[in-house]
Amino acid sequence: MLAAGSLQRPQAVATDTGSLLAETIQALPLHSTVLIDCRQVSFIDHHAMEPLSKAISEKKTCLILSDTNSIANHLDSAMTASHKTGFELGERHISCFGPQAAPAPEAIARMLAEAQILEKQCVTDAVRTSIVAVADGRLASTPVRTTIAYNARTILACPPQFIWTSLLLADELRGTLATMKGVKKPVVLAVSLRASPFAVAASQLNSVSCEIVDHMGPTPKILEDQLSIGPRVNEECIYIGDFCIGGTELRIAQTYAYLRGRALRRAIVIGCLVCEGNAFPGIDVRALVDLRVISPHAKYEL
Amino acid sequence: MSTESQKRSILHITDLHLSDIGGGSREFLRIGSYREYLRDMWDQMSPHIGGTVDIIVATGDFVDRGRTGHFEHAQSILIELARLAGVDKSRVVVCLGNHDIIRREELAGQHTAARAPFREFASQFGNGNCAKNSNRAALISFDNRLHCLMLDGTFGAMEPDIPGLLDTDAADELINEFVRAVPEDEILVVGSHYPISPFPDDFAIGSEGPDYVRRHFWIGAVDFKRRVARVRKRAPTLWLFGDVHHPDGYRQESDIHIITGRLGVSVPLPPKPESQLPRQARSVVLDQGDFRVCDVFTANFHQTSHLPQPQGGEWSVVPSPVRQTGLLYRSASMATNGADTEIAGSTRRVGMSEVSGVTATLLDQNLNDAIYERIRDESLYRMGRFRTSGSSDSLGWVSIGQILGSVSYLPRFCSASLAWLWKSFDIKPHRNGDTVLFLGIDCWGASVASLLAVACGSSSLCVAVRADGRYHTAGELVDSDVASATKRARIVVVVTDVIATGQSIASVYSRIQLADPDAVRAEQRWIALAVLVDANKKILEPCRFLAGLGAACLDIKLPSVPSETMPGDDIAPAVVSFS
Repeated sequence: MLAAGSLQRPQAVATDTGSLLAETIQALPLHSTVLIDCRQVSFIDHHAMEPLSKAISEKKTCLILSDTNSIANHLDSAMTASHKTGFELGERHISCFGPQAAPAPEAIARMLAEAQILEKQCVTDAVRTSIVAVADGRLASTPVRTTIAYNARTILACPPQFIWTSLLLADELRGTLATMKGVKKPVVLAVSLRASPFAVAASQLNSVSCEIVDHMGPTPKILEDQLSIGPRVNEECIYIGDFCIGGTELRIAQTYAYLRGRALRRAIVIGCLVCEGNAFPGIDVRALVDLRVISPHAKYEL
Repeated sequence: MSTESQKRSILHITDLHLSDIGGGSREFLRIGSYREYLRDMWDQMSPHIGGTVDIIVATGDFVDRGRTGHFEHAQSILIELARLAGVDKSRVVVCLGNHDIIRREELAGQHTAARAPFREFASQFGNGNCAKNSNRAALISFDNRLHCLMLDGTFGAMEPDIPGLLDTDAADELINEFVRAVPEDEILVVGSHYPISPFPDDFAIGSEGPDYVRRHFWIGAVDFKRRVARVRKRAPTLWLFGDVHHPDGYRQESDIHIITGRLGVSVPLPPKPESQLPRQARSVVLDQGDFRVCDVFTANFHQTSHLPQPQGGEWSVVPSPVRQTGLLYRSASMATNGADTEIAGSTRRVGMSEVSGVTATLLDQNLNDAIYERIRDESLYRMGRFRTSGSSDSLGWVSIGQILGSVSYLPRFCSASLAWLWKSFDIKPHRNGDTVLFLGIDCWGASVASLLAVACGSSSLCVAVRADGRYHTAGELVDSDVASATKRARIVVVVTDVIATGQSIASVYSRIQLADPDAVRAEQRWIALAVLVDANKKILEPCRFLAGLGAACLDIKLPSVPSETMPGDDIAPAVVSFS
């Protein structure tokens, strides 16, 4: 949805989105099978599916849309295809359209599992490409010596990498928010330049406010804070960051949150060096990627 | 009738979209639950408006996709609503929406037959006793100096599901036979399914471009609306719209324009979250004695997704201030040239401000006003000493994060930016690749740049500029990667939160040149986008290389003085210092 530019309504499939999907399908070989993840999509413009219907007819594409719980009826009436199928796969509604009968549910379940792996792989590859050498062997954020660091700016600079990373961060955030129902008002907190775009994207996709403090990392120097706004005891922060090595930036952010009367007990990062559950007492850190898997031979010394 | 004889209350609902209304349906307006749904709404709304209304206006899309068999149930819904509100059904007025037409007949050119079921339905209400009617409009007058003009915005459409045409003859007829029939000192309520421009472009135009406006805004009626304003100068005209499902409201002089969100549409299955759009109904209260007074109350139905029953939800009513257009905030000292400019198929007033040779373009008047009001209402403007560069101190400061960090302003800014980039520089969505580069300055600039880049299919890079980068690492500053990306680009869009002196932008430009003299080329175009630009500033000298400057808000002054004219830091320390 980010790619389609539906910034105001990321849950909506607008006409432009449908055209973009149709173009993507037109570029594929004949008889392809296309899987579209419709998680969080709750509205489709009834004009959006016309180009898509035409594309799958021309390219004889089997179109499988997963998680169509909110839009199955609309899709059924908006899409034209020789075969239309809908069924439940666990809690997920699957809608299939195409010139031939849909694959068996078991096959679709396998595709969904593979898709999840591919998504994760995309982010893992993105993190790999973000590895940079550390000139003087010292990290700026945490007092450790190492030879490699990760620069999230390279992920930002590559649109597909940025999109997938943001989407997976948004998924993690959604899961985190689900555990916070009835708790204080959640606010996403970002405290560095390179983490800000990911935090803002993830918060927008979940319709959650975002606060950016410029900045607490890598070099801790707050150039602009929000302390003048006063305490926010009815809020709880969720930290979203790029890479967590020693956790210095995270701890600073937690202290800052406490200064505002807020708790910070949850963090989501792109990559983390120490992923064990008790690595950061008092903070539940979720990472998309385990950095030890990316760079198993990297050494860190105090 | 209102308990206060001077006040007139109008209840507005729209877009019921009745589809699946029988047993097993999850539609709130289904046969088995519509009474309690409406009663709960009325219980919340009623105390705010004195317990009753004068009229109920419903602006179309009663049924979904031509399901004309559901008009009978729509009738039950409106009758029930009238009963709750304590009025006879003759005080309910309706107009046609695009979903209420039998498409098969319409496509065959049988326009009357296509609308026959709707007209039968409408005749059960106030429309059946109208003072005047034609194939496009119905004028219903009530005994309390209240008049309703209900328009068919679909008539004459060149294709399905878009607004119709309104040629000169048709507009003349509406003005002379209908509008002039209403005494000038009595309230006129105009109901149209399609909103008539101008209205904010914040909900999709950035991604859907002109097609969105073409499909949902009745551009053909813009001139008619202007003529109505010229004809009626003594009493307000209340314009009520539906269709787009996104609520909004603004006031221009004495005319009030309201879009209300949809009342119907099915609830998705749990545990999936429901649509972000609340169901809505609105009441507008006008004072017949003092036409400046207008209160709007919005009833929102919020689905409570964490409850086990998917139908769970609650109505709540909030006052909805109707904002004025930005004309009130323009000071005489500002050198502002307003220009009517075609943007994306609509005619919109775009503020332009000449700032030292660089023309700052206001992206969207309504966004400008909304930001100004937010700064004002939440006291986000601080006076003090703020050192943002080595040589000057700003005396005013706005915490942009308090604006962009909320859920609604950032998408509006992005949408308006995309629309401007497309219109002014032909930067279309999705397809730009390396030819367009977005450079985000500091945290918020980087965040906005990344979203815009995704929408344009381009790359974005973040660069730190504050404090001359002294507190940033190599991976955050202008380097060879930034220079290489700049070199490949035909257009460079620099995005930042506030432009006060322009030195940040100029700094990025010159650092890229230093990193690679060939990166900045004569044939390149550099464009800047910012949330706030002080249009009074005449010190954007460093930014003469800009081909364009887009701003979300031009109305905030950010005075600055040379640091050397201020007392020393030891007795007057800066509140914020980037040095």
